[in-house]
Amino acid sequence: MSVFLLRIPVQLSDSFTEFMSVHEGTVWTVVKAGFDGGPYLRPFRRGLIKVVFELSGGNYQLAFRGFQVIQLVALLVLVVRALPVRSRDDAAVVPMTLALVLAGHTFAAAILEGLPINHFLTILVCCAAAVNLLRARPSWLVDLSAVVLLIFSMLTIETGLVVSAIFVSGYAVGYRGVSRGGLTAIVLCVVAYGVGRFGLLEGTTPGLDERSAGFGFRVLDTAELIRRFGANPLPFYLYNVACAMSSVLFAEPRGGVWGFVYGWTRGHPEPWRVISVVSTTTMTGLILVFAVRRFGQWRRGLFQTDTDRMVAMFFAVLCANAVFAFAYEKDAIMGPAGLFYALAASAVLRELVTGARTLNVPRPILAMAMMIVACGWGIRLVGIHYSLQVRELSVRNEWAYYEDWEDKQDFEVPFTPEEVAIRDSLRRQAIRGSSNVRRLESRLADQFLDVTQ
Amino acid sequence: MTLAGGIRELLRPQFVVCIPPLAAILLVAIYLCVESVRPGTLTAARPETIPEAIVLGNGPRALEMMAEGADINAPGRIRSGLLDRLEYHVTPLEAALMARRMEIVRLLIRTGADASRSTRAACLAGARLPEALPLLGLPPSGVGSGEAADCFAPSGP
Repeated sequence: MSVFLLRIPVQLSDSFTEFMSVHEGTVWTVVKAGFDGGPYLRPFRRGLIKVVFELSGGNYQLAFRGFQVIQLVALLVLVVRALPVRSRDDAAVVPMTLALVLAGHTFAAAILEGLPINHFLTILVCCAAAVNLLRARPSWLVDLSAVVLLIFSMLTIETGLVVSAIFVSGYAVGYRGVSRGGLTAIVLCVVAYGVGRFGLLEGTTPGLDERSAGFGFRVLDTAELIRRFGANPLPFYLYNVACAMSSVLFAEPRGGVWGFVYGWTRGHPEPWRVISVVSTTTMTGLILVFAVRRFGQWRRGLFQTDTDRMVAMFFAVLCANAVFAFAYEKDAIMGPAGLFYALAASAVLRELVTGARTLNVPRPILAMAMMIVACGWGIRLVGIHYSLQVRELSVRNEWAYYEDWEDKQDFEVPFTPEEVAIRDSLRRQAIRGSSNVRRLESRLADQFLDVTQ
Repeated sequence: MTLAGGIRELLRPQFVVCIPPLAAILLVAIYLCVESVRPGTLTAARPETIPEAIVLGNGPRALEMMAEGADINAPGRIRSGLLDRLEYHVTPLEAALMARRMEIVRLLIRTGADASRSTRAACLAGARLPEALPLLGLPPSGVGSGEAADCFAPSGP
């Protein structure tokens, strides 16, 4: 995957303007400017971009995509570290776990987008690190790391607050890596964040005029959103939260749009949607059967195994994460829940593979379900690589037609010579090596692999 | 081990869960290896001329060739099978018009393509991409409206 990733230039949309914002000043001034109130509070996000920008030495593609590869490797190492692999049967589930992490639609945006640093991927790394801390041997260093991790993640992007939910739910299900004192500090950090953001900085939450959003079978632009929900946005917010949860559990809707249902009702759902929905729903079914059987124990506060803990934590993170999608539902926002879905699914599959626990489901049905899950996610794992190839050409094309893009922007001030130099360098890097752009030409691949991200 | 025994073995939960994702990883690895050793074996044709890059939608490759010194107004070959069954020898601008790629027409004009050096551009624009006519300095309508193939027909006695 890293090979595919390194070939993609820094993208134009959502990235180039970030370069314009960080090329002047120091890391401190860039971070400080992030504390300006408004609907978002993401000072460390630009700070991180600034650091990589300064270290790049002008080789932006290698620096930023390289950083994304480092994040990807860190995520996978942390995920594998979090898996209790003690036997050959446990090890048999590892490839499937990686497929569940990498091939999920909530993960796709973390890998396909540049931005130029993908902060959704940064948060996933933080979430995986949080799981490792929860499972670590308790010490003051673990507590301190947990607090630092939370501060870093919540000041990188709002979804980073999910890390606090991971620590709290982890403690509730019995992980004691982070102590009660550490947990208190974490809760205080969240309170301080709320007071600081909405009290001191007078920040707001994103409104309906922020961006277009999916609703029903299509995407509504901001004008239509305001016309429909301006008087009372609550139903729209509830819709988004419900869609966010459904998206993780059933891979439908995507970005608030019910594309599979739309295709189904017209008798021709796209094959890649069928694969996504069926493989995810089947896996969710297995998780739910496990959860229902164990719910009685959980209610009494008994979380005996890692699987109990991971599945219970998944539901907690799913609910906490969905809250952040209230303004608009976007697959990437649900990345942390997607990661915990993968961990919970992996844990349930491990129980089935090792025979540690049965789900009271007839063996042939169970075997069929596992086959559907494994094959479906396997196909999706190929699909994410295919998407990366498609992405490479589309990013290079973006830069080739830069002037068309600029015409649509409302840049009020002409670029300075330094900004022009950055732009030209980014464009040169995007065009260089285009002779090696390759794409598997296959109508079958276009039908069966998801390239919509 | 008998065949039935082998199949039973493969249907053990360990294998059912393990084999598909490993097969997916293996497929991707094979694809990478094959494309590294023999580029183009599994992928689409690699553009050899600017017109080919254009009909394949590879705008950056067209720009890269120009940066390497290729003449933006010089005719180049489009191999049969890339646009349709026929082989063509056309200028980049003509290729963009034939492939109905408005964004590339704009790019070529910006980069210095000279429509007046093409005898077929007006005809192809009329037949395939009328919205490009103003960019070529022609009135929005009235210049050809037949088939693109007519633009390649012999121009008379």
